[in-house]
Amino acid sequence: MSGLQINNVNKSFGDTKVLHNINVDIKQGEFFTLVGESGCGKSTLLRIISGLETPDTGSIYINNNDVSHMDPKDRNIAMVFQDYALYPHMLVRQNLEMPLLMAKTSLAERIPLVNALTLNSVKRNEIKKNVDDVARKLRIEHLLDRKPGQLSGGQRQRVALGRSLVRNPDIFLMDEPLSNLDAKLRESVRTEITQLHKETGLTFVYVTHDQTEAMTMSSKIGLMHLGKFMQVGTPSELYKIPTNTTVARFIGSPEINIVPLFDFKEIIEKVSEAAKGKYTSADIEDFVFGIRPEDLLIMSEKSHEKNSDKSREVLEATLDVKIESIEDLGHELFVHCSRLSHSSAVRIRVTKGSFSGNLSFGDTIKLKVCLKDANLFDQKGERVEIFTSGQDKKS
Amino acid sequence: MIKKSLTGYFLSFPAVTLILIIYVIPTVVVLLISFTDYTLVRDNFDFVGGENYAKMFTDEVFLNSLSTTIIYALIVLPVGFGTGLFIAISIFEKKKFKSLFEVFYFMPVTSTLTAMALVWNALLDPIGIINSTITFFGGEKIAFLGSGDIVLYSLALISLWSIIGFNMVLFLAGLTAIPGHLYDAGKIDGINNSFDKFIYITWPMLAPTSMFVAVTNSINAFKLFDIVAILTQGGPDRASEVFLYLTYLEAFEYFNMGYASALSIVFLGIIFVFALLQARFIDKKVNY
Repeated sequence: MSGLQINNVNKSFGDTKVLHNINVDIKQGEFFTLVGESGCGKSTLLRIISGLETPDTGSIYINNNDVSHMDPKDRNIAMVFQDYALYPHMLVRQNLEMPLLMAKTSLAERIPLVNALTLNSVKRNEIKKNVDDVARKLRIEHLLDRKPGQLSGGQRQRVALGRSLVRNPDIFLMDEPLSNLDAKLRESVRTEITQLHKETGLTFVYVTHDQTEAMTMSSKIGLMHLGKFMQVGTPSELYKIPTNTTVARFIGSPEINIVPLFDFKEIIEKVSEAAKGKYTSADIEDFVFGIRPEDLLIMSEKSHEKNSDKSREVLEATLDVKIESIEDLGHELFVHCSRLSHSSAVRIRVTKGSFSGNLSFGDTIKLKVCLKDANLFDQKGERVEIFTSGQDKKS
Repeated sequence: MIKKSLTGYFLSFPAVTLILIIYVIPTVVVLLISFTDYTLVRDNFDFVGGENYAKMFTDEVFLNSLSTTIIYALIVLPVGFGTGLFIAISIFEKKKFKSLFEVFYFMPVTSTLTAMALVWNALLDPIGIINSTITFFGGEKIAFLGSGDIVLYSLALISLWSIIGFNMVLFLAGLTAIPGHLYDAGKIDGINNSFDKFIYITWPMLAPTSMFVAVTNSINAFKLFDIVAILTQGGPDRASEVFLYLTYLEAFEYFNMGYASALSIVFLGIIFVFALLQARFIDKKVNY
């Protein structure tokens, strides 16, 4: 079993336990994203994988080798840091050479001036060739003779990528590499990293707090919360069948709507019926629905007539809301509404063209939702499987 | 407009006046006096042109003081720099007792060197505790302040004692400013042992601090005066007669104000060169 396995990893800093018994199996070639809000332990986990931190208990396997007690350099990993961590006093070329120099040469071959004699030209050329190759690949050849301070953020990030590429790693670790770039650049570097993943076919472990990055880049996401994995799965699994409200809230923008079951008078009974036995009626009172903004439809006669699917109709419910504000993104609208009964907000995503009516501030509208598209969560926030079957929703 | 600029002159007037009175005018006066044969024992004086400056090149006393000062600086600079850096690096990564060590090493800096010189005098005395200890173990007494061969080392020792803590604090500040992720990146690249860490990361990143320490220490070494005045008065036999002490002697013991002023101007020139070095290099180095 190649790839990366993390078994029973625990880590505390002083009295604060930051990682609780982490187990995860990352397959060879996977783009695995660790996502979660700051302080959830995702960066610590990455540092444990890299060997910069040692776990209190547990083990790390890379390509079937137990690397738990190895130095970072012996794990054959590459790491890209949030603020690039380029050596500011060295030229870009020297930065790129560094991992090779440390791996391939002895101390005597590295001492300045002395190395003119001791470092033979074969090694020297080999290192130079490697660096040139990577520089060409990343299109940073023209930057090789500059210092990091003279480069823009995007160029620095590319050099940092290059420094990790030259060593031909088994695993690529990235710690929020895009968070210091501006929005426009972030998108293009995002594409570049995805491209890099495809080209190299290596295992990537990517840490971010940005759910958009997680959703767009990953083949698998591990969502962390308070030092534990809440859910590990593909982006669409996390989006469509989140295991609990924490995951549901974290993934997706605008945020998912959490609406108490009791607001849907039409179907309380149906749910109560189905949940009976497993839950007490007091529990059921605290059930909530998680409804994605695009699953709420604004009712108009037109859409009403259209609907003919019987199995859906029985699970349909309505909600009365008042429009608070409208964000027009061009191709779609985000409508922020408040509920008439409570003050809590409801967000709707309307794709232009699907709705032809006029929406304006202060209007009261009726929303329709097919609860088959929604997820039901119990009083503890865990997903309840009653009539929403996850399997047929996977895409 | 005129009113506005008047307010500006008015507001800067006190500061400008003070700077003129304290720095500029005295410097100009000293420069002028350095071209005269003015002494405190005669009423009139004549302009003698560059004679005072010319005299220096043949004055053995002056040349002696210059070489004494340079030798002293050559002892103090590398030792003070190296030890300060060594201590800073060794206690930087300590978690326990770090602040204790910092206080311990910094203590001498906070004490008044003039007062402490007297304590050192007692320690280094022929019948002081250090010599007593040496003789107790069967060694020969060392004339720390009484031997022309040793006196500069003894003075250097006292200066080092007072300056190492200061250098340490400067280096600690420099070390704190090195981003930790550089060491992380280094570990991944294979920069593992202390030697490699120092060569590839710590030393280059400390360059601005190092430059600052080197320059301020040099200036301080050239400004050596207080412990000489208290402990040796330039003796024995001019062995510790450093630049500034000679200037003091010429002015206030021999009353040769003209010559003393010329010495002061030369001193000013030397300090100016160091200050220039500092300004040039530090500003450059910070930008990498």
